[in-house]
Amino acid sequence: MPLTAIDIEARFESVLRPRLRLLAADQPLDYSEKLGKLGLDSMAAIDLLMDIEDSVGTPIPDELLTADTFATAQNLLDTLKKLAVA
Amino acid sequence: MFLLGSKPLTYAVFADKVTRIASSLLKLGLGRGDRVVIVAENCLEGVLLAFATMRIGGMFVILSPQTKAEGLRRVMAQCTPKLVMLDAGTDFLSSEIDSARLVHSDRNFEALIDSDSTGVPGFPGIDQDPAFLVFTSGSTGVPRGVILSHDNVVFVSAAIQARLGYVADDRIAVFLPMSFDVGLYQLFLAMQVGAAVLLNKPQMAGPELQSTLANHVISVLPGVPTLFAALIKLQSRRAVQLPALRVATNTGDHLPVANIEKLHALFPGLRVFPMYGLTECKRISILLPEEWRARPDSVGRALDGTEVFTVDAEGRTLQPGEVGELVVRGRHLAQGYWAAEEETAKRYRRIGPGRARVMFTGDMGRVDEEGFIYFVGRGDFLIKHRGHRMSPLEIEEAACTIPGIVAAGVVRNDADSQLHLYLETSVTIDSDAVIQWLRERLEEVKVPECIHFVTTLPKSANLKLDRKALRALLAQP
Repeated sequence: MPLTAIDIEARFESVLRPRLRLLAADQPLDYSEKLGKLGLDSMAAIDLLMDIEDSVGTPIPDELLTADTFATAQNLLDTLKKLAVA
Repeated sequence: MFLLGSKPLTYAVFADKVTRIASSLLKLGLGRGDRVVIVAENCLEGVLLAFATMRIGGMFVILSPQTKAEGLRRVMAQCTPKLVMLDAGTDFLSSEIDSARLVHSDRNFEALIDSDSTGVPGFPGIDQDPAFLVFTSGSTGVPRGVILSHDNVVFVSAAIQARLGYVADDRIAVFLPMSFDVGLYQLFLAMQVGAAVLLNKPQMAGPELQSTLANHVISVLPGVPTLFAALIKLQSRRAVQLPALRVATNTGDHLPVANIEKLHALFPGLRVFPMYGLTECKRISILLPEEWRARPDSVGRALDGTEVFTVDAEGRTLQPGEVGELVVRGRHLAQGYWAAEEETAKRYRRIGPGRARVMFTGDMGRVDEEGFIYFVGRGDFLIKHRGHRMSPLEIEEAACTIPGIVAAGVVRNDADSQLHLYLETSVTIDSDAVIQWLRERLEEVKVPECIHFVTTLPKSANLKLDRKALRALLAQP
């Protein structure tokens, strides 16, 4: 079931955090920090992609699967919100 | 076309630029035997500088872009380069470079491309001259530079080509860093046949992996097990048509049989080549796809014109089938370690009645009557558990047959005398079911007592399973 932008925003961090190996549980997430610096390597990014699709309920189109989309939390969130139902 | 991607380059333009850079290097006072260090992501500038260095008889050293200041200091002290190239990501290392000329791939590299290349004389050396050094972790923990000569490169590239059969139309995607010889040699393999190469950063092997392969019509994918695990995960989830993909070569670590089966199922017609090698001679053996079915556990036969056999702890040659240390002979054996005579003498020795020069791999294995090599494990990472010596690979291999598991790592915890198995998975699996599954496939002594699920296994810069970091996980609750 596709989600609205508000639902996505609410759920986003709880899906992202477990894949950021270098971000401590009590550390706030900086949305402009490079996800690579927070521990998201290529394999973790693939797992994250699958987690997102499972929780958001919408497949991310191939053309959005770019390094840019996964560069920062903000980029990723913005991409997902564009896919949300109105 | 030689290089694909955002800055495509034909072989002719590449050769011209190499000569122009060679001209600049000569004018800067570099020459035969001098060293050039490159600390950068896979990039065109790094490749140009590496070839220009060889062109004037010098040798290049490519270090991982993840190199830290201490690591660079050690390498600089050992090989005293005259020129160092950094990129945007390694710029912070600038302060380490006091005795060498500094070039930035994205700031002043263009200045190295001389407007006049007519004054560059022919290659000043002979084929025994070093072409480059590949730094690898030494037996003492200090990184050592393996010295590869022009002859080593020419010989082994032809021997690899004889097995893999690259063609001029091939398009090779390199996700492995050039600091890792497997990434670097793709350039030589491509050049032999005139194939094209797409240089990628290792982090590009993520969600965009399939689209990269599709958009660039990639036909050859050299990889390590984690790269193929990534491809399997993605392709199982959402199939992308990759009809051009015809060759996959695996090295670095053992590719589980289950994952080879999955690759065959996902990409009908794909030829998967398990390979075995060590930087110290580049490549030892390659298993052909048509040999694989009958010998799924083998890493293939020694390259043509080379020899592999096993010796016991006293250095005596063993019979076919007997497990011992794998020893290699051939023209691909490197010249030794840079400025490390003691370690060189340990690794490269003369044995037997003919006093033949051989390389001791430090790996345990066996060679059958037909010459097929079976890797048993690193001499130093065999697990001793409840009185049995075992290779972690066998357990990891069995774990990878569990549906939903693409990567596994096992370590023995000396504190509790138990085997701990770490499984990389994105699905929920019951520990008891894992143990039951393994019990059906492994001897009881090899069934791990503790199962841990992780989102990602620790990997080294080369995407290999990092066994040291895996061991460190034991300390965590």
